[in-house]
Amino acid sequence: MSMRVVAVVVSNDQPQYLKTTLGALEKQSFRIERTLVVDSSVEEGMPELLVDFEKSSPRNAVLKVSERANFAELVATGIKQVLNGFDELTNIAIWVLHDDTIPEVHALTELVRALELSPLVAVASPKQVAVENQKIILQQGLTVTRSLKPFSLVTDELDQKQYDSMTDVLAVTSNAMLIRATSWSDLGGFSLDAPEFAADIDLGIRAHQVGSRVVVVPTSRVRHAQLSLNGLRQKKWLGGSVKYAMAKATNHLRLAHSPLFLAFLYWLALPVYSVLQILWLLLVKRPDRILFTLKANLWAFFTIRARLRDRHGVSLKSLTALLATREQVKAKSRIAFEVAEQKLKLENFAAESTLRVGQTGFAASGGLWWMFALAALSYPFLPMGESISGGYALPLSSSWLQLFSNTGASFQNIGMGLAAPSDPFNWVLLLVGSISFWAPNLALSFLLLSAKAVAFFGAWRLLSLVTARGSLRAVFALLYALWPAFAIAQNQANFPAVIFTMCLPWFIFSLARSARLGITTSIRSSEQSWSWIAASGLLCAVVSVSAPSVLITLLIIGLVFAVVARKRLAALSLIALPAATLMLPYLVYQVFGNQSWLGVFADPTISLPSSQQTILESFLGQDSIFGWGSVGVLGLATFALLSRAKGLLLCWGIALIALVNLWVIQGIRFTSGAVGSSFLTPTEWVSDSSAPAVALAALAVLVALVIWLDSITRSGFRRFVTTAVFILASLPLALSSALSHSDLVFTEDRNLPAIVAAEAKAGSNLKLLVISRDEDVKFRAELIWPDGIKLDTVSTAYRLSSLNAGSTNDSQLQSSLSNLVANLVSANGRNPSQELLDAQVGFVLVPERTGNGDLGVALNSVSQLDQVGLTEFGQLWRVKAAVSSNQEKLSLWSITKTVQLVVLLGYVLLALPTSRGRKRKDALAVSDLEPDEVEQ
Amino acid sequence: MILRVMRTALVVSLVTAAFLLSPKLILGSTEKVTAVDHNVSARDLTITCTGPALLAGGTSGTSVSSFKRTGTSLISESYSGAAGTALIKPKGSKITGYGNRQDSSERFKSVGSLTVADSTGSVAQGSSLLTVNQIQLVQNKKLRGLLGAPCLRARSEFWLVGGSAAVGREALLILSNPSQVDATVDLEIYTENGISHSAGLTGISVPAGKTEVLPMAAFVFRADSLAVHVLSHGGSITALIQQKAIRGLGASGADYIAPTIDSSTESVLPGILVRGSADSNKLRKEDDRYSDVQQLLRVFVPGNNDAQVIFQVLGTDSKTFGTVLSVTAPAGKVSDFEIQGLADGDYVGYLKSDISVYSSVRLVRSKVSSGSFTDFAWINPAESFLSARVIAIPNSGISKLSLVNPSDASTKVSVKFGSQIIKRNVAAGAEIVLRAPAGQSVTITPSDKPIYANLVVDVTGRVAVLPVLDEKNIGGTVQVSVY
Repeated sequence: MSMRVVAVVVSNDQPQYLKTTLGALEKQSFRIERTLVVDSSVEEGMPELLVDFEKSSPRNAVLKVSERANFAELVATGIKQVLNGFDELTNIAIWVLHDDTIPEVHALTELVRALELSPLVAVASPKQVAVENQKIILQQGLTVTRSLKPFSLVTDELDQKQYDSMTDVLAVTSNAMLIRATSWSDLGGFSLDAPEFAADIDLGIRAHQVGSRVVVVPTSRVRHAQLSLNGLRQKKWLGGSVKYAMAKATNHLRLAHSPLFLAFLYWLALPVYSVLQILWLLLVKRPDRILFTLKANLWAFFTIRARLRDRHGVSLKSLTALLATREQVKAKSRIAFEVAEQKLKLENFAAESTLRVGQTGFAASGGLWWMFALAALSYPFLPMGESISGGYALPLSSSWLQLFSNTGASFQNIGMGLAAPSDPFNWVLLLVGSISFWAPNLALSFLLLSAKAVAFFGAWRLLSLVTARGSLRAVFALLYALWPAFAIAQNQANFPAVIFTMCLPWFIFSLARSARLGITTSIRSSEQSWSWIAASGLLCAVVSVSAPSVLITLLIIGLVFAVVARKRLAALSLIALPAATLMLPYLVYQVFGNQSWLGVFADPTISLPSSQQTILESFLGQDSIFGWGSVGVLGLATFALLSRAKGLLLCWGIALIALVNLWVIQGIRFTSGAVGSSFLTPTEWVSDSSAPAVALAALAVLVALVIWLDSITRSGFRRFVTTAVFILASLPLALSSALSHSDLVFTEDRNLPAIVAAEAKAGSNLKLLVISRDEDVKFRAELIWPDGIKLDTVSTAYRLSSLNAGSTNDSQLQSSLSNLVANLVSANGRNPSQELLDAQVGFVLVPERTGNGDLGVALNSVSQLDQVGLTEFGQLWRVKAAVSSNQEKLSLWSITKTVQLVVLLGYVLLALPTSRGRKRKDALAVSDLEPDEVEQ
Repeated sequence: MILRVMRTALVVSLVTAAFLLSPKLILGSTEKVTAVDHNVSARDLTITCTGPALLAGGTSGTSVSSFKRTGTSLISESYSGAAGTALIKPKGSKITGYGNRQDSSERFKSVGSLTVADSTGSVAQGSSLLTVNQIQLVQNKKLRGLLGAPCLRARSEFWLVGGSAAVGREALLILSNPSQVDATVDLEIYTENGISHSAGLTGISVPAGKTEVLPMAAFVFRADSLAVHVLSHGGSITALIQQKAIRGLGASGADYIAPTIDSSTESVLPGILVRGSADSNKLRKEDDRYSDVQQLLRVFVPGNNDAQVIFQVLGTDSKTFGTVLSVTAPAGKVSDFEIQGLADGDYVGYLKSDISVYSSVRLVRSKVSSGSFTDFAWINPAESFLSARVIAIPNSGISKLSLVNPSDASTKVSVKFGSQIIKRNVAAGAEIVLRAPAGQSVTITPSDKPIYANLVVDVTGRVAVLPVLDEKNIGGTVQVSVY
């Protein structure tokens, strides 16, 4: 008995393709008994075509359905309609077609033959080839991996008949599939609960369950435009991107076809699994997949009932032979990797700027010796004690946990206590402290020692983007590392300025790398590209939080960068995310909480007395003789503008903006006071450090100079200028740096009297009140918490808050303390016990300073205080009636901190160089954590 | 090419302008830390007089560590008698205030303190409440001269700039502790050779209610020029240097060196009333033992940088010509510069320096005819004041009040002698010298410009100079900032 075939064409708004499809159906060598077009189009051109089709033959029909129906519903409705009227379904087969399919003349004949040859064959599918090139096999049979990911057995391969022996498969695509009507009826059609990509496989598995076979017929070929897969349809059949649909299909198959216990465990573990997947995707530099993976997991987690409805008690054990083998998966990955690499190579080739030039490496060009010399020049900073003190230096918290606790905190355990975000710079301190987590101060001390060397290395790498000449790179990178403003910042242990200057060339370098700018590029894969983007993001955060004073200039550089790299703007815009995440809470607090928008630009340091500087003073630094070397270099760089070389104007533009930034920021006076200022010379205002703006200007000018010198064809002149710069600028600045004086000393990591520190260590919550005399009858007092004065407790938000700035007594505690101090200094015999008790003051300290002597005498007359004696920090008194309560420790976590940490860790994972991209291609494997690595 | 030249010219202009012409402007400020005013009552004001002069050697005159008092010191005091207060004298006698100022004199045989007990806790302290000074004319073979000094409020820190421990000179540091807490004193002694590192400079104990006398020669033997920094821990103290000169076998000149004001780049030294200059010149020329009978500027430069000092001595009238010294004072050392060529007359000294320095002037007086003598007085830079200050005038000798207006505009000053008020105009940069009535108090009230003043006391030609102080404890309006 011969087969009778009815066809169901699922159509949606593709009149041109549909017309071709219907035409091809007409020409089939095997007669189609009925053809039904199930149309969900909304386009106006469709009715006319469909009417003509319907009129052309009584065997043709059109069924108009709601455009909102999904593919499974359309097919089910269509098949129900097309089978209507048949009393017997035994010899009837249904050919399901998409409207973007062009079957070859004998396609159906071959399929029907397959069904006729074996009664066990329930479903037969043709070879799917490309419309424009029939030699390319788009798909030929579907299966799943052992972890139940959909797997296409053949994808985009040249047809050399290598797959023509293939017959039985686990499943086939719905397009051009010929299914027995009885099987369709028995199996119940496509599952309405399964996502699109899972529905085909699910049907195949169920067919096998009932003992039927699913086969591909290589002799039958259809051309398929794959409009849905290529995103060319208006209607989103897949409910999102292909990758999202794949991720959903994977989750569905795992929940519907795994053993129940495993499926339940998988569902339970989905939240944790999602996190692991995200971490893995970051590590393998595929952040673009995070969103849809997460979305698909959430979809699966919250639609578990629908997944369970699709469970049919099928065991895949019996189908193991039809599952994808490890070798197949590896081969597929290798092909995918090769395609991606080829694509990137073509992109790089297309970009003119990324000309590959042979360069001498850093070590080979003697860079390590220069680094060693610069480290030797910084020998005064060789750590000789637990921590560094003097200048801006304060010790970090001695325990890493405490350092972590103070980072990203939402409450400041200083002074009167303030609910405000910590300085974003604390994240940098945490990063530095984590290097020697057992003694965080050690890394901080080493940072000063290595600052010049690291800055040199960074500048060398940056200059390698504009020149391949080793001598130019070395001389001008050296100049950057020896710049006077940097030396001052180093001598004063101004950590934010030092870190900014160290990291700035690295930041610009990574920025250029991520945008594939410069004369060379090392990017060989998209993974590396993502690594540079993440590294740029982290470095952007470091420089932004270290030097808020140059935020405007950094923003302008960002805008210029956006224009230059506008083709990759979407990915590159992610560079700003870590900086924004770290700074946003702080900026919002400064602007709205403290109502001080100028405070946004305040340096995250203690209020060491500093005065306004002119641009010239900023460049000369502390040495008014040798410092002229830097000014000379600037003058020389102006000649560069006479050259034709590209990029000079941009560099000078940035330098000029940095100079304007420097002048403006030096014109702003910032509130002094707050943490640790009782031990400093009193001052009404402090100025921001000039070092960051100077570093920006210097770097831009040096890059301009190098571009110019590199473009000079007369090597004699180039060598003369380079040598002159080395002798007249680098050497004098090196000498100045070697001879410069630093007030820094290495001491214990304690900056409170030993007895106070010991009591705090023993768990006492008693605070220290430091009283100091500024003028005749003008006093200031600082309430120091048991943890002491630490670099990570410095809070710019607190410094600019009304608890420090202004005259408002915002808290009752502050008012009470103010009154207490007034009575203590006047020694008028008033009993201060209650105020001392309320403020939890256990000790009173008067620093050794001119004018403070009488304060000591006054406190000696207060009977409620016991003189402890003279300490290295001043005279100390113990409060007789002090009672310590339980110490309230700052919580380790806050919502803000969690968000910031997650973002940072994500970027760290993304930035970490992994060997995956450089693996032997044949060793590539697909991880279970990559749900969409293999596309259908 | 033209475009490139133009852009180069533009950038060169901008950079040059940025480096050479960018002004220091204040473009904005965040909120300033402002102290909060508190009205607090002050501790009762206690003024301590160091008492009669001391003779080294004890009763026998040979004991190294013994000192004995000689004679009595004349204490001149002026108490406002404010209602609600009472003046308590060293022996416990009490004078209750009824709103009338009381000027009195008495003699002390030893160190003594006067306290104004304020039962209201609201009476403003300062010289208007109580001011006391002491003078003593000593005429014996071991000590000759007029010693004068203000009685002081005990404090924890003093700078004493003056004196000498050279051969034939004796400088005794007198530390008195009127408080009820033992004090431990550290000394920093600077000489012409820099700071002294002698043993025993720290941890000097001055028990409560006691006086310690320390010969400077024990620390800085044969040092010509002294500047002493006294730091007390624990109790508060008063400090003076008693300086005497021995020429040959006889004493010849003595004075107290009182604590000076803080270091400054500009100082005013009123009361350089030169008398007997011809006799001084004669003595100096004829006898080496009188080689130091010369007006002298002493400068101590704290820190590590040398100071460029200009000292201008101006006369009060057209007949007195001053002089100008332009000198470099080395850092960390005490330097003496002779002020030569000053004829008899009234002078004021203006000191200007590029960095803050401590300074003082030694004023000498000599007489070679009958009753010949030589005496000296150390003059400290005066404090400036805009509100009224009171000084008690000793009821012995001739006292002259020297008032200086260093500003560049003339000002009026009101001077009240007892119940008589006179108003005088003080020209810009000028000094006026007024004779003050003995045994009364003088109230000096500036109008719109700060005034500097010293009182020069002359007893039979011997001279002492008393500063116009305003001693008060912390109280009244106190500014506090807490963070």
